[in-house]
Amino acid sequence: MRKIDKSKILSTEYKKWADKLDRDKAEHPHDSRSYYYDVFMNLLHCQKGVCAYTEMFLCNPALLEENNWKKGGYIKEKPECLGELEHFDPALKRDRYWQWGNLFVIASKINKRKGRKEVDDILKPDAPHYNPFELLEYNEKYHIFIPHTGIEDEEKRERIRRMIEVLHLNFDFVRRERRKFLKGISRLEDFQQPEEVDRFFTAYEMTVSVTRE
Amino acid sequence: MKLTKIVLKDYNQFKDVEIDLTYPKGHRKEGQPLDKVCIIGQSGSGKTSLLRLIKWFISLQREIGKNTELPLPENSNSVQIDFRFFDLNYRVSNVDQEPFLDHKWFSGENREAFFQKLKDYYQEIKPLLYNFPTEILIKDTPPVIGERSTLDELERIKEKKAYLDKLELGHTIDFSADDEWQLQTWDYVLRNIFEHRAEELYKKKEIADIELQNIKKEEKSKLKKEKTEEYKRWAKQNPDPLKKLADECLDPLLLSLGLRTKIEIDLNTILNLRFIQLQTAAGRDVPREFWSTGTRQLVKTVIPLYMLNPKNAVVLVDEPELSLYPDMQKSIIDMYVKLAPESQFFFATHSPIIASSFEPWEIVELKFDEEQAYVSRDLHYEGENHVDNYKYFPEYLRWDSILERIFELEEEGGKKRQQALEKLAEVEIRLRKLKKEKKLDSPEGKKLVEEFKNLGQKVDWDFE
Repeated sequence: MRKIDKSKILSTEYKKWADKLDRDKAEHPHDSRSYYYDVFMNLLHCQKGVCAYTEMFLCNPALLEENNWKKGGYIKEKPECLGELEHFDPALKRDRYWQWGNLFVIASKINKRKGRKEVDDILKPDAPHYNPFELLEYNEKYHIFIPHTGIEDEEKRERIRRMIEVLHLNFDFVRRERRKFLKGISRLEDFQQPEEVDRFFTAYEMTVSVTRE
Repeated sequence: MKLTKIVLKDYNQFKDVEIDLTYPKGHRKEGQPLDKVCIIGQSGSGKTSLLRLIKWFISLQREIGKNTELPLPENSNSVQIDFRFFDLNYRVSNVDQEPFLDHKWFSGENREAFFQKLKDYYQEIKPLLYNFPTEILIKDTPPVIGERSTLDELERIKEKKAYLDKLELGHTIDFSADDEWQLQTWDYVLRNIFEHRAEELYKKKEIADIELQNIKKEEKSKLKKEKTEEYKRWAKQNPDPLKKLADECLDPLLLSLGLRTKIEIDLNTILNLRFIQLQTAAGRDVPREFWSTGTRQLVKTVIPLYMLNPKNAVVLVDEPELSLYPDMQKSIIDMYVKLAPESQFFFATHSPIIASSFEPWEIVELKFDEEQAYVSRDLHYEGENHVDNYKYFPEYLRWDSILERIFELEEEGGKKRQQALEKLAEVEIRLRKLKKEKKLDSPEGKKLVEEFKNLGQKVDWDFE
């Protein structure tokens, strides 16, 4: 799960609207869909077109280029992208439904499974303290993320382990996709220049670093 | 008769579903009706409903051209089925029109030609539909109604012959029907065998009866010789159809179950005039009530197809994998198709092994929408329906990949396996570090190696 920088706001109209709701201390309207795709596509832009947690591929990069935004909004009504809007902390959903900091786009399968499970900020991809290379390690043979073995605090390790489960980073389906993708990349690299990686960035980087060691 | 398209505007849980049943572009049979179709989908997604609709449609053919009122299938408001009968294309539809009268329902290239061909087809008494629902396993084979002596049974076969010759039962071989109809169906399917058997018994009885005649010994001997010669000639000219069925169809399948078809006639029971009997490889009879469900499934589905040699028929098989060991599931689809190569098969299944016998365009996956309210067809190609645009090729995949790709099973094992794998991943990384530090011999290293070994054995060393 890579670190996500959400500072680039392209859907400025949405941001103005959400900020005003916050200033007015108004409850966020759940049923409003006026800015749904503005938020959705802006998030995907920040996430480089992949699921915020599992890094599965969700969207063609061409749809995320900045020229797809005009007058503070995304130009297409219903862009063809996979994934669903997700509230990292489900407890905030009731009052702060459209809060930018709590939103991500994730794979539908993961969203269905994550449900209303309690979360811990220790593995929140846009948190300032979050650094996957300090918190996680990747076993490239099993294609499994584990709490970094350098962390000695067992309680912290348990918190990380729990969040790996909540965010489904090792869910069989995800693991299989990741394994096949990385396997494909590695086989291709035997015969040609490495192709640009467009998903599973963290696992790829961690695998490459282990291989180089 | 082969179906080329089903459009379900409103039928049970289907809404605006279009199912193309022809080979895609780029295929050597491009545009022709599919030879076989594999319907998959979650429980309740309508696989059996779809088979029922096809059954209804074929039953409808009997009424076409008679200008009668046609009942709609249950829970159906708007359906359309395109089909090809020999080389002519037709449509039965009540979409956008008032239903019921067939002259409105039915359209096609040459109506009169179709009616005539259908009439000719039925004159041959060739069944147009073979329906093998899951109930086939539960129902007795065939239901034995009343007790009779062998001689009574021989009389019944004789009487039945005239009846069966005229019977229009040939339109459908349907094992979802009631017991009485099933009995008639089996009589019809096995008639050649029983008529041959009855003839053989009569001839043998004739020879035996000579002994009882009040004539001279020499005459008896001469007559007996003549009749025996006559019987031998008859037997040579009329090979036993049961032996043919056993040699060419049943016994190769039953071999793996340790069984074979009983060919010898048993004069003490009428059972050999009612249905096929089985024996162990050592020759011991296996009463029908002791047949395994897998044996029943095989015998009941294979015999009608072999005996009646369907041509241009539609064959429906719901859950062909029922009670069959995986090893047998591998070849069962090919076996069915070989028995009726000119027919169109529809299978509904939950088995990845069964699905592996199909080309990608032969798979019809039914899927609920997000609200779980309606069902649609999940397409396995992107863009144009062309062989090059298909994503998954079941015949080339491993069984677990089929479960994952076609049946969308998301996990590869249970929760305990997942936990063991995560632990293994961690233990191995720790071991790697200890190895680098040359500390594998330390108490910690030895403990981790032991843990690694234990967990590895549990997951069968299969984790990469």
